[in-house]
Amino acid sequence: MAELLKSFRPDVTWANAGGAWPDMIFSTRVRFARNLEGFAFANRAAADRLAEIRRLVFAAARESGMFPRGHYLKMEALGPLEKSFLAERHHISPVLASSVLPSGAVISNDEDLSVMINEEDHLRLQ
Amino acid sequence: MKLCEDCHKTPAAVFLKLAVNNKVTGLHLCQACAAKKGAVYGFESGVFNASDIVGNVSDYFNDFLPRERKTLACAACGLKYSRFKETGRLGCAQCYKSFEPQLAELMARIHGFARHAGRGYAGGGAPEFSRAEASRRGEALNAAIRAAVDKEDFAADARLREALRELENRHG
Repeated sequence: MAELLKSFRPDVTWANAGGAWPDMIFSTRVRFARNLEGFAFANRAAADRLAEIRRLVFAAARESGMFPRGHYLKMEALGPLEKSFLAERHHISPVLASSVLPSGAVISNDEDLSVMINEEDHLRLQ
Repeated sequence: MKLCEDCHKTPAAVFLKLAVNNKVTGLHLCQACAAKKGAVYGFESGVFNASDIVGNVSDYFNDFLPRERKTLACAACGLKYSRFKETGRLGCAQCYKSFEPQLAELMARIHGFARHAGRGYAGGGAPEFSRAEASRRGEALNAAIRAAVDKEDFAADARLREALRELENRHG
């Protein structure tokens, strides 16, 4: 447990107070929902297919170069406290936290970018 | 007083308007028959969700539909249309093809039209732009062509003209 928390920064970059009005934080989030071709949607795919989707997404995220020193997380490997930490930082949703099927998340090191895998859709890019 | 077009006994109190395949039809119903068909969802509770509409109004259509509609399933993932009506969720990308007429009917009912106007994803190819975006890109290309001609960069000029032609073909 402690290992995961230690691997994250104590503060989120986007919420760093600085500038002229440090007591105000204005944030924007964009979220895209996408599904991989050739796989049934997450609500209908078998567990082994979901695991394959996660494997493909991890590989694609590594290849993209957009997540240097990023976090590659498998939901079933996380405990309740770690999941609520990630939900608190808005990297994962409560739905993903409660998932019992192969699901996961890729989170960039500065926490500006995260991808939920096998939540309602194969991909939730945010 | 107009009688309910379903039970033909009670005076009609609700007008149920349905848009199917871009054709709008209407039914005068009494409260009880309208409630049976799910038409009062939303009026009473103030809250309704897609599966209520999909489920209840589709039940109404089921009375008129051939038997195969009831056992309709997606060839790719096996999802039954009846299951989609319960959950409001499709099973795979192919479901959009498998249930195309049903979904078009549903979209028409929810949104008024079954055709999407605006930006769309062209499946890996060049995206489709709105008229304003296409015109902005056209102007940018024209400016780049003028700059290329000024510099006598004819290779760039040819490439840009090709891009402009393609844009005009898609959005002209």
